[in-house]
Amino acid sequence: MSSNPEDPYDLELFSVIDLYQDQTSTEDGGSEYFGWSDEDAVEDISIGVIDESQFLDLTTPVFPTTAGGEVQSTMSTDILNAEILPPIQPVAENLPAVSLVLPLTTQNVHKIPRSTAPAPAATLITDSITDHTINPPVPELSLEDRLHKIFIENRRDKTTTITWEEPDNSSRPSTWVLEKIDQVFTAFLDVIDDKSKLVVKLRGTERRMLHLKSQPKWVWRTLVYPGPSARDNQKFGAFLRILELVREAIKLDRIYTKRDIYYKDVALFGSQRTVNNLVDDIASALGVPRRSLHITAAAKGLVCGDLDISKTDGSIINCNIEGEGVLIPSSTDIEKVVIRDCDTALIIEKEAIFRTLAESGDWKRLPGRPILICGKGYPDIATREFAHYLYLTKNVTGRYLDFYCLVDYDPHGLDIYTMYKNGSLLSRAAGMFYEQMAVPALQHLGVKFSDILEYCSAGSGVSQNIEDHGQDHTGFNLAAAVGAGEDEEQPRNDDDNNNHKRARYTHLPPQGLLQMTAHDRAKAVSMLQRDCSNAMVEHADDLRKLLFVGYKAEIQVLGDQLVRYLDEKLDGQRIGLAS
Amino acid sequence: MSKQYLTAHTIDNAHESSIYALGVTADYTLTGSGASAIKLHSTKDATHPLVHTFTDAHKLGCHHIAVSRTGKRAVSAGFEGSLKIWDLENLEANGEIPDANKDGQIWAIALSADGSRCLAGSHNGRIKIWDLDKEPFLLLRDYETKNIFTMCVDLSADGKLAASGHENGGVYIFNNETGRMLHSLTGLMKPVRGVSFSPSGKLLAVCGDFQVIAIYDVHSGEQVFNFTGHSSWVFSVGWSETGQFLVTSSFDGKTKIWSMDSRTCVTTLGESNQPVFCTSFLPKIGAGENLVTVGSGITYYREASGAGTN
Repeated sequence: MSSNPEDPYDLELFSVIDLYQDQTSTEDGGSEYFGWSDEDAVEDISIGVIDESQFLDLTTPVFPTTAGGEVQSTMSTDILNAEILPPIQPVAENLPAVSLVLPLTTQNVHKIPRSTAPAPAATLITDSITDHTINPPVPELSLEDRLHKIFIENRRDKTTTITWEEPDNSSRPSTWVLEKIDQVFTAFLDVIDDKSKLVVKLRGTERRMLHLKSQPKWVWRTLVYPGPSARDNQKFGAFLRILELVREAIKLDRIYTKRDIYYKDVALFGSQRTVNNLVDDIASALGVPRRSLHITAAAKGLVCGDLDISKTDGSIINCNIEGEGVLIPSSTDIEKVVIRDCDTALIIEKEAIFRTLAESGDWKRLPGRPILICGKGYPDIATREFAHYLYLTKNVTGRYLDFYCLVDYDPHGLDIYTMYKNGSLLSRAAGMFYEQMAVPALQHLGVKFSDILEYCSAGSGVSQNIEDHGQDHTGFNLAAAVGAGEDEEQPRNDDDNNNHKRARYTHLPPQGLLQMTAHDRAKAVSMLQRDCSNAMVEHADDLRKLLFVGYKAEIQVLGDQLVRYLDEKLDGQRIGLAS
Repeated sequence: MSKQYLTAHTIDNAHESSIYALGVTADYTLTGSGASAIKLHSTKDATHPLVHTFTDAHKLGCHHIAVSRTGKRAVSAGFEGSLKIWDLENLEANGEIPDANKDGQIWAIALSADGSRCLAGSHNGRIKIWDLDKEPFLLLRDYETKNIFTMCVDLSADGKLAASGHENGGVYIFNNETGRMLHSLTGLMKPVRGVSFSPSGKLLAVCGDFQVIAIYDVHSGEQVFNFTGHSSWVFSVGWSETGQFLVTSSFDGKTKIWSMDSRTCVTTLGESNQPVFCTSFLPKIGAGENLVTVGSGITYYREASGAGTN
């Protein structure tokens, strides 16, 4: 009971780094990454402790002798503490003072039971040993939590609350945003000064939604400084750091990408998702679009084709550059787009395929001289808005473009296609103008399983269209060799006899297929589940076939047949439209 | 040598999507597809009319059906991971194996001849056997394999042996009495899509993407011989009631019948190149070995009388 293995500390440190990722993935929509959503827990702990400890002299945060009632034994050596100490003060400026004192007192380090709400009163009355027998499974507090607890005990019972709950208004000036941010910083400085508590409440939308809802559900996300545990301070720190960067971006009139922000302090944020969530929450709570915070997603999408993009700053981007694509600018930067001699747009999932077509100039020779758009996997907002913009734009001959989509034959590919076509479910659920990011007329060009069979089977080059009517039974008896005890793949010489017959099959096993992974299967099932409640049944059969046959394929499976494939497919579509 | 077959009846629009699952009893031909319903067509009647529909059996579609040889019970597995039990005497749902999708979803299923034992293989390679005779269904066996997707399973007629085929080519035979693995059959390197015990339980037929039908001696674990001739992935394999013939179907739309006596292919069927996902001999009535295949539709074949006197 007295000594503690080292592992828990290591684990603790890891989990601090990882904590955002962990918590954001939980299903609880209301409190996702903050883990807890109200101040009650804080009150329980802090009030309870402050009452008994009377430890209000904050300038010299010595270890709490008054808490002796709950003292038990020491836990580990000085060295261990010293090793652990440096990385654990992530945010709070007050923490170092405590940690400096600590090595001196480690001979007498007290272990404080984790203060679950009803516990403190009871534990304080009883003595240490009986306390343990009454409540044996009390988890041991980590060093970090103990420090934090001392830190908490030194607060005064005063709370400043800031609530951000602004109606949506995209035309708020950046000075207004600055005011709101400064308000938080001012309050924070006051709180540090008089050692009270700061609560920030953000009104956000529920993040996790499988089913479409007409009305987004509002939830409150609450940040408290100091929080009930040290981790919460890290959350608060991440929040402040983002505000600071937003402030900096506005002051300097620069645009930061979410990626930039993440790399400003990787250790603090832990994961990109933390940044994304916080930025979305701040924007949502302030009722402004993300760009008002001077934050964008990193430009990701590429476009290549016979068109010019006029930007609001007066520059014109010619996308008909030999050899490479052009990064798709944010929709707010686009003044207008002039589409010249093309009547097709081809949305491509994979950057590699996009580059192959763009660099070779093959796109110019394809039917309809398609404009190539690539979102590099799941498309970002700018790419989808751009596709939507093109969808509403006529070319020079006064014709709207036909939209086709080329994605992998796997669950994610089909999901990406659905996203371009219908907008993302998430933005739809959050009421984020999804119709401005969708291309409802988008058609799934491929890669389809039938295409793979047609273009990738071993004998496909010979003749795919000769029908076999199975009338000839005896011919195959030759192949029914009586090879006993041999390996399964052995009858290659038998095959030679029959090659002329086999070439007629369209369904020879194709080359280059990949097996569905557990992840693919889970994704396919979740897509089936999601779509069976909506009207989007277009791919249900493909998904089931993926699951049943157990093979998927990437666009690259077409290999050097890619151009021939696109040529035939696009041509077929055009003929189909004309007739 | 060869047998002559005629297309007896074709039901093109039995389901709205591809048919993946087939179970045949003396009375009913059960089929499961991407649609939520399981359909029961008459097996005996020459026009094979639809006699019953289990509506909303599996919300996301059904990929496997197994029936008991007695024809009293069927089980079906759905894409959502559930496993449902059907009473074919009263034509009603008869429960669901409740924790079927707890650890790794259920994929392949099989029933013992009397229908009392249900065998299920899951995504994570676990093979489980339940006693279906009384609720709550008792988990009798839980075999752990190498965490590879289970594509097919089968129980011997007496229920004493179980076999599983996996995505990496692994085939295992278990002794259900001792609860131990009897054989691990190696050498197949591609997905195994069908395993089937012969009626006597002495042989095991294995098919899959290696395009060969491998016959193993269950007792020794030795590969006895191969049937070669399919030129695409072989999706299903089944025995005739007497064990004299094997029927296999493949992705290129071909259905083949193999004679165990002469060890040759005696018939190749299939007019289209649409995949045939499952096939089965019908319970024997009269002299001929009739069969049914499913894929894009349901097709019944009748052995032409007078022919096939091998």
